Amino acid sequence: MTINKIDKNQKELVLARIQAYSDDIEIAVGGEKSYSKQEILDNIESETEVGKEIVDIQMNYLRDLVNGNLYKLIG
Amino acid sequence: MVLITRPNHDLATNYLCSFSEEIISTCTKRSVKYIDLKGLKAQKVLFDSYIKKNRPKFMIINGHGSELAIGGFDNEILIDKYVVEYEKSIIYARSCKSAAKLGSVLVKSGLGAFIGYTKNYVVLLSRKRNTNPLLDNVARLFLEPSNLIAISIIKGNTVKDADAKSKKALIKNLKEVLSSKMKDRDEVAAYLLHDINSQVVIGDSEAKM
Repeated sequence: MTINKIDKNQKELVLARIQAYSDDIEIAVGGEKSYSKQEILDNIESETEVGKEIVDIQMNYLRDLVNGNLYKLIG
Repeated sequence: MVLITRPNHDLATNYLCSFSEEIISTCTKRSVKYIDLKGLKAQKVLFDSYIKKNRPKFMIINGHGSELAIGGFDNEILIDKYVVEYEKSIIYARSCKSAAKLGSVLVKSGLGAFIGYTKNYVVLLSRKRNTNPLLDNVARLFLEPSNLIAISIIKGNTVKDADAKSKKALIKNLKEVLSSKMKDRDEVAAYLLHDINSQVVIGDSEAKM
């Protein structure tokens, strides 16, 4: 389940990470729609459902990176 | 008999449609009969008609999804909780969230097994390659492992084994991405991890074609 309102610190962290990415990447969500880097940033700024999910995905990744679960997974 | 839907009404579905060629090719190589509902053909009337007439043992559904429905061309709903004609079949839904609720509903109504995603199914694309999806090596990191689900089942593996093979390929790609110097490596890794964690099997994990 995605979060209801994005935590301010998490929002800033994820926005900063995405701003650092190249403009080449687009995100396709489930055969529904694809989002450019700018559209992703706008969705996070506006805290849409997609924006919330992107923050959720990025924060889960960072947690798994920090607590070592990611490296356990890849062996 | 295999049935595959692959609408192509926008960029995202066009990727799913293009990468599904590998699944079709596996059917051809192994002389497995298949029905290919490509593009406009991925519509409710045709879908229901082919199911009623041919009773496919395995269905691969590409398209937009939600917790309670999966769509075809222009997101026309193909499968929802009211359809119960899939007795003992297997469905792989390459769509968003359909494993959150719909998968369980269909299994309770008699479907053998459902493989899908509990959250949004996400694929990263390279804008430079989006006019020719099969040349997009970023998307390939996501879509080849998902193709493996369908290919493994067509080759006679159980649903459980197909899921395991696909996750193993996703983890291999994740490992390669993390140890590479590729651009946007953390971004790609975050979404690969997301797809690994949201891919699930519901129903009889020993089911096979």
